[in-house]
Amino acid sequence: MTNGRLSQGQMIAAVSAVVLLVAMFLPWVGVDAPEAPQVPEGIQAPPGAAGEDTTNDIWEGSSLDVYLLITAVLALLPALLAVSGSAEEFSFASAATFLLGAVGAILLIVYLTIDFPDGAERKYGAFIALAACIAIAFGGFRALQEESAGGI
Amino acid sequence: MDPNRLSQGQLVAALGAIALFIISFLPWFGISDVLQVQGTALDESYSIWEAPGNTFDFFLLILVLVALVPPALALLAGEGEGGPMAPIATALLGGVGTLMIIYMLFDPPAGFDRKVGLFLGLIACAAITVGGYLSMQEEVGAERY
Repeated sequence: MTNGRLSQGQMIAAVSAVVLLVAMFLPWVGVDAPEAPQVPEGIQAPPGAAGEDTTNDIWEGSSLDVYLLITAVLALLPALLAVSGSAEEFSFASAATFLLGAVGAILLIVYLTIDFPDGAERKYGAFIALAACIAIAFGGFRALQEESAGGI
Repeated sequence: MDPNRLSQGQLVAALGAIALFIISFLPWFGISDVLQVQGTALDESYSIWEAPGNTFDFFLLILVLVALVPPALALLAGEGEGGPMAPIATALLGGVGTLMIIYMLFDPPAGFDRKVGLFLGLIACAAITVGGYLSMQEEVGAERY
């Protein structure tokens, strides 16, 4: 690995991007099914009386998936470029990572508070993604600071 | 207010942002031929603000603000660029918005049709991206000379 070429901020953003990518496949939205009715012992409940809990990830039914994918790829870009030895060619990466991470966090907060589907339950995947977006924004900001300090 | 204070890129981005804000209230998605009243099919259409389960409206609002604030500052307060990150932010968010609309064109939400707002929104987003890119180039050119 070429950790030495990556700054601390870039490392934070890259690790958070991986966490974000994983979180996108975890449950985001859930609908709890009603509990099974109480039936006397020895009698089976009719089929379908107790439904199953259903959960969806962000890829199903939201426009946020593409945005979060672009954010994660951009946050991973400095790490990927460092591995290929061409990190200096993409000088806007830190600013772009900070910006997309911050906007992503705002969009996720809006999604969780205002735009969330009625009657559905918020699952842990959405909260992990929110934390990852905040960490990506922090990593990008940190990388920007490190770049400007290195420039001086 | 002197419009000559604006660079070409800022002007393109600002006009694109104003257009995008107006377009956001046009129909973007619709459901057609589902509702039948006395044999007549009813068309139901939604602007990007009304489309169910869609967070793209807030993204567009952020994009419009990011594209409009630097030119507004330049016009009203006489400040030059609105910060070094302003053109990058405009180009980047405009580009991401363009990609998201292209994705929605090919894969609209289940059960919805594409309406005129989606196509006009794509043009406006592309204009904002071009405006941001031009601003970035103007800034690089100004630093060089």
